[in-house]
Amino acid sequence: MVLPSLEFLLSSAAAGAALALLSMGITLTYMTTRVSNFAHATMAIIGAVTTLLLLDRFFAGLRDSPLYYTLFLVSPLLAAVVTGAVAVIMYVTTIRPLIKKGTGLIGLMIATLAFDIILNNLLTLFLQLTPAQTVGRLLEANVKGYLVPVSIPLVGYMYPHRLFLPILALLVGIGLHLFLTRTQFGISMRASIENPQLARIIGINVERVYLVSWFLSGATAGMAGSLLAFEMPGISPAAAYLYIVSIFAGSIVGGLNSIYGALAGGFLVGSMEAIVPVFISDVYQLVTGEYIDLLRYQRMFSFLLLILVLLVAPEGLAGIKWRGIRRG
Amino acid sequence: MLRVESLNVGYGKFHIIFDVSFEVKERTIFTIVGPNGGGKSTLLNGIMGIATVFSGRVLYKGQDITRVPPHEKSKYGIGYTPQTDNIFPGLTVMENLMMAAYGLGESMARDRIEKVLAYYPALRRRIDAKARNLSGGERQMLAISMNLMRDPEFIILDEPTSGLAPIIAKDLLKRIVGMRDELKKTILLVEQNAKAALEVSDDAMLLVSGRSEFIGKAQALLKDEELGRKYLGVK
Repeated sequence: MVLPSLEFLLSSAAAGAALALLSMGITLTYMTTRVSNFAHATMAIIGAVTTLLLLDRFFAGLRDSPLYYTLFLVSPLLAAVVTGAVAVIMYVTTIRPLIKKGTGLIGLMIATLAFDIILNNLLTLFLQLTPAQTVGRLLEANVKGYLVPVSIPLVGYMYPHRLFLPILALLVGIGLHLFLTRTQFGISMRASIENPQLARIIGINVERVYLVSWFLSGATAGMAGSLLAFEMPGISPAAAYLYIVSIFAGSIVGGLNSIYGALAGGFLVGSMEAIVPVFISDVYQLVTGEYIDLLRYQRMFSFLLLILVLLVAPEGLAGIKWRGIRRG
Repeated sequence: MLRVESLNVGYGKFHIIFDVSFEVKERTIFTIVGPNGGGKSTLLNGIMGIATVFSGRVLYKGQDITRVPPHEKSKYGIGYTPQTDNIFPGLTVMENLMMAAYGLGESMARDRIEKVLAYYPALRRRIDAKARNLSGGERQMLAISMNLMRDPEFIILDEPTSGLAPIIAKDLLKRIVGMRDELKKTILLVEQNAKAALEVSDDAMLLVSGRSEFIGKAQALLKDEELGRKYLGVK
């Protein structure tokens, strides 16, 4: 059997971490406002575009300086603010008025799809019309050439974005857990999810909780996207339509109603999409001596997992009684 | 203290409460009884601003609060405990109490939690338990404690004894009397458990099909044989 290299495993973990962040965000707004947000992947692309613009205008010239590595800190933070703001605008201008009018779940879902198409088109237009300074052109720009590997003891050379994605996902996961269990606002968020009516009676500003949940959802999507930029063959808003299905898959595998489930589901789906196709084509090559590229069919495997999970554990990872399984 | 003037309430197009008027006096227990589906909860939801008020007024200490949104009613000193879904099951007892003290400030919240736990010592033993794991009686205790967290002068309770074993229900009613006598609260109570509730109440109303069939002293309603037999299952 072919043993995977450490670098390959780490890059798969990065793909998993990115999807964990994205699935977590889509689950968060689903849990608070019951909206399945189809614009979530475009939010991630906005994060990728943030990286692209930063590279094009500032960081491309810094490549030989240690300052260059601050890109991997500056970009996620800036992307978080920008995308968080876009998510808030989406909520305030489109979602909230529709909820107040009593629009049903399907109507809201279609509205996010409509918003997504508008946002995606505007983003494409923006990339097409803005002249690039260093990267050639902005639409479908490939930024892989701007990667500078860092040397890590024991691991060897590693690309910083791949290193940062799992760290970021871990930090966001821990941060969110502390926020939801230790802060009054975080607990009020859980209270509003469980029983919005009672939360209102008690004097919690449920409206503000919803707004913050949309900001957090957008911000984490932007962060993930800003680091994913280097994994994209070309930064194009159209890529959102490929990502969105995997994001939903991660959220559903996680159980749709659990933030921790979404983190786990997203990680599972994302890393599986990277590992399984390569593993199968390696085995295939070992047996037949011929090479097939299965990576382009990677979503087939995540959806196979999705169907299996729905069949075996309809409530997703979060619905499984893990303690009962351990006791046998 | 609370005056309801010819209130008409419903949900959307459904008209459920017709021209109901009554007054709750300070430091008394006013109980609304009546058959199931008579509109008792809807009337409370109308007073709270959760159901739609078609016409009529709700006056609290002379102020018109009919259109005050539910989350602002707590600022007026009105505490409401709905019949169901009155706690956050996924939160611990402590977190539930903290939420009920939302916006009070750290030290005052801690102070109130301490007071409430002194009043309901059984809750202290379960302070870190998820609310969904509480017994029925403990749940109602938690719900009422949450109501007390903001130290309201006026307390509205919707069927607090529903689903409780008779002995626990009796204990709960005793505590509600204690809230009037010791904590100096005014209480508007809706009860299914008519006889036991009327026995501890000052005033009462009988609500049948959204209309008030009797308003007066609770004892008088208890003694009214015809109404008792017809609507309350009292012999």
